[in-house]
Amino acid sequence: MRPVLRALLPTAAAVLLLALGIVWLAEGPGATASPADAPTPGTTREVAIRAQAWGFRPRVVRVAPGETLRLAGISEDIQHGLAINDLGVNLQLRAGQVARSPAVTVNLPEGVYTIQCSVFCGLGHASMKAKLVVGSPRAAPGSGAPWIASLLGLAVVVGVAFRAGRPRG
Amino acid sequence: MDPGQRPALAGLRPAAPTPARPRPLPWATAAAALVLAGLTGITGLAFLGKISLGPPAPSGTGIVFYVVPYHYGYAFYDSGLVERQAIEVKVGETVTLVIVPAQALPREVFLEYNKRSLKLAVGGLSPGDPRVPAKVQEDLALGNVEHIIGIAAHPVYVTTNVAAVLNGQPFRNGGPATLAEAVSQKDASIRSVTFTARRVGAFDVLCVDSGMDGTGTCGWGHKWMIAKGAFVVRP
Amino acid sequence: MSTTPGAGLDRRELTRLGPVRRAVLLPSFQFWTVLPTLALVVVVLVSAAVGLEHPSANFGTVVTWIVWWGGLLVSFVLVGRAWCLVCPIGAIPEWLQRLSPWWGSRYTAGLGLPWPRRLRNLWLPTALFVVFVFLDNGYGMSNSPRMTAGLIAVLALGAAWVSLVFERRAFCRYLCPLTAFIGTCALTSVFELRRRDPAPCRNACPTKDCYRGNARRYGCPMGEFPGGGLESNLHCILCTECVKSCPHDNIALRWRAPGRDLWAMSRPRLDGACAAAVIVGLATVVPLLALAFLPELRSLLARLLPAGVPPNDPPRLAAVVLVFGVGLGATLGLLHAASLLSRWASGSARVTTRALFTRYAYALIPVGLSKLLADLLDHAFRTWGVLSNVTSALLLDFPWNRVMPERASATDLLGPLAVYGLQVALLLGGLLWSLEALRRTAPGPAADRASGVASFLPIAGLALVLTLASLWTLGSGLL
Repeated sequence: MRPVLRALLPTAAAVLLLALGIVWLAEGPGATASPADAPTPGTTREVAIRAQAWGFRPRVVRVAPGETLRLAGISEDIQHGLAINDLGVNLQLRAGQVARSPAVTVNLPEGVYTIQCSVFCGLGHASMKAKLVVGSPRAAPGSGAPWIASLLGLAVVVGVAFRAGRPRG
Repeated sequence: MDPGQRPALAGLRPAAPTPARPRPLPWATAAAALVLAGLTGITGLAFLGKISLGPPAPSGTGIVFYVVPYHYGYAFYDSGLVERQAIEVKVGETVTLVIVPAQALPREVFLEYNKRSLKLAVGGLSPGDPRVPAKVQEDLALGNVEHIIGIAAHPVYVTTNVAAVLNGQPFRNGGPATLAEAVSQKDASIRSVTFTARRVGAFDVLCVDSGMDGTGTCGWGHKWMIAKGAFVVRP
Repeated sequence: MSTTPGAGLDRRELTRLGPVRRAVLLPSFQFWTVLPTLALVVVVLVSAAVGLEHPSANFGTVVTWIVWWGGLLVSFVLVGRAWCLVCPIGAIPEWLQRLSPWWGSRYTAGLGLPWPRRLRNLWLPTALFVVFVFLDNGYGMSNSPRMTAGLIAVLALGAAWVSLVFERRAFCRYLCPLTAFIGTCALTSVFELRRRDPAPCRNACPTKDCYRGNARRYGCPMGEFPGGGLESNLHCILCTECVKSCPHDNIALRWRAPGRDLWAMSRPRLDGACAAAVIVGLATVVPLLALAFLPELRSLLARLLPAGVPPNDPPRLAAVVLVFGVGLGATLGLLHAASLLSRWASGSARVTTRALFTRYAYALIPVGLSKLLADLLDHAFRTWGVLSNVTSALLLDFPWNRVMPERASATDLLGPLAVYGLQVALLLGGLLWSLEALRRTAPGPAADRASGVASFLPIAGLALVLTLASLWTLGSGLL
């Protein structure tokens, strides 16, 4: 067991460190556009979103339920799309030109909704997403998905590791 | 045993003799190089925009029509600037469409055109719904001022350029007072396209989607900005 | 059917099936497979060069970046270098060189020079592949019909010029920006083209027709030597010239364990291994770093470089180059570190870190390939119907594609969460596959189970980290 422990400790430490780094990179950097403490009735808040290959800034947009919102998007490089299917918003973003959506009232239950790029913009297009957080949701249906997937990945590794020491076929 | 003396394995085909190396033909090499050089040159010139690889453009302007797109419809005029319900041409004719955005004209003229939207059912609202003018005003304020004019089944795909003359305002200050003035002054906002009408039928004039799933550049009413069968090609 | 002693009937062998055998022995086999692709590529080129300058309305861009790219990724696993079999960009210059589309010719056009010895590796193609991905990230190549047309034109003309100067398919083997990508991913295939029995090749074949050709057929256009122990799909384009030219009927197309090449190569090369590592890094690490840092890097570099009109914006382009450099450097560095730790843990003096690095890199290919497939899956399900739209538009104005029929009708076939579920399944499948390959590759005395596990753990950890990078990059919009 000693060789296994000698390899396991540095490996586990490195994997843990890198995994935390990955979660931070995926979720951390990127400003959050937050609502005012209490949105003033009758006013429309404009949220500016910048798109580049392949991500959005801010990556999290927080709104209050019932708030009236206008999205102003701009691309920093090529043509992108800014789509929130749950709000029926879909803007075409061209480099250097601001595109504004009509004012939309966020009549959605508290939760996390996906903002995604709706124009094929290259090999990283699938990763080009941001989050619209309405209210203070406890847990969105998709919130645990990456964590569950990560644990499944770990289980796969452990399972194959048990076979690692057997004679190879 | 010398490899050449080993008995052949039973049932095998005798090996074909290795031929002499194929003879290079210098004239074939030179001809190929010449052709490749030509293709390379043509490709380079095409991508620098010096030559066009597409079909030849129709010669001359042919019959001219004027199209005034507004939020959210179109007005059509013949070459004498007389308004028509539709554009009618004969098959095989060369057609030039001159597109003059309504916003390139004064505010009052634009608003007159936009009253026509009240006669249509736009955005799921009934004709005459007062929310339609409010939506138009909102789109102008949002900067959703351009249209991409297309005609179904025809090579027409023209993006207007009215933002250049608006200077960030919803309406134009100065500029031509009428359509006739804008045409005679060759206003900067005008775009045109020349093509040949090859198919007989009645085709829609529409504001083309700029996105993959039905979005457009002129805002809320974009999806309804279609003049059904307004481009008529007769035999 | 072969009567070579010792060959016997192999149930895995496809060339024992009559129709398959007749097809691959047909001299014009590759000609007929290339012809339809040639027609399609010509239409794609014309529509991209002349047609609507709108990426989702242009037949050329949609077919190239969704249909062809997606088909390419799937074909690796099923058939190996199947694209190379049908690719007209490599085939037509070859016909020009041979002065014949399929029959043996006594004459040739071109100078027939040997490819420079120093360049007989995959370093240059790997660098060109990185440039290819950079053009997409930096300039939106897949977003632009004109750039797409430019890419096809440059590849076609480049292949033709190289064929006129150098022998065989030098472009396809040593210069094509996709050869390293296609070749390394083809190692995952369930098919292979190999000699049945080494004995006839060693003992009874002085002519080496599979390599040198004969009066009837040509030798391997990729310069491989099937009779000399071709052991991987890295360079085999499935042209079947060797099957036709072998006088001993000793080469067969057969099934095999999926991705057997990933662990079974006896002489894996470092250039191919680095190509594999670069591809995995581009698929997994680089997108994550771009997501996290690109805007901030750009702002930083904007203080040093003059701004430009996007996409020709020097600060942003420099930021992309930096992200690529750091991402690929990190991938290679992590792989080296894992190899080092694995060697140390194995306690074996027989293996070197370099040897482990080389083998492990190949074994990680499924992790990268599954991420690329997951990306494409997302796009396919979110824009279902686009292909029929652009095909209708093309048919209305064939082949110029200047016409929009009416409204676009792309549909969201599945929601984001459902798509992510499918992506997770793909990524975990790729991880499992890589782990199996790594398990068979990691050193350690067979009798000592603990050493076997110990040497496996570091590289398994790296495979997990790369998969986590993909899982979180794709899932960051869901949390």
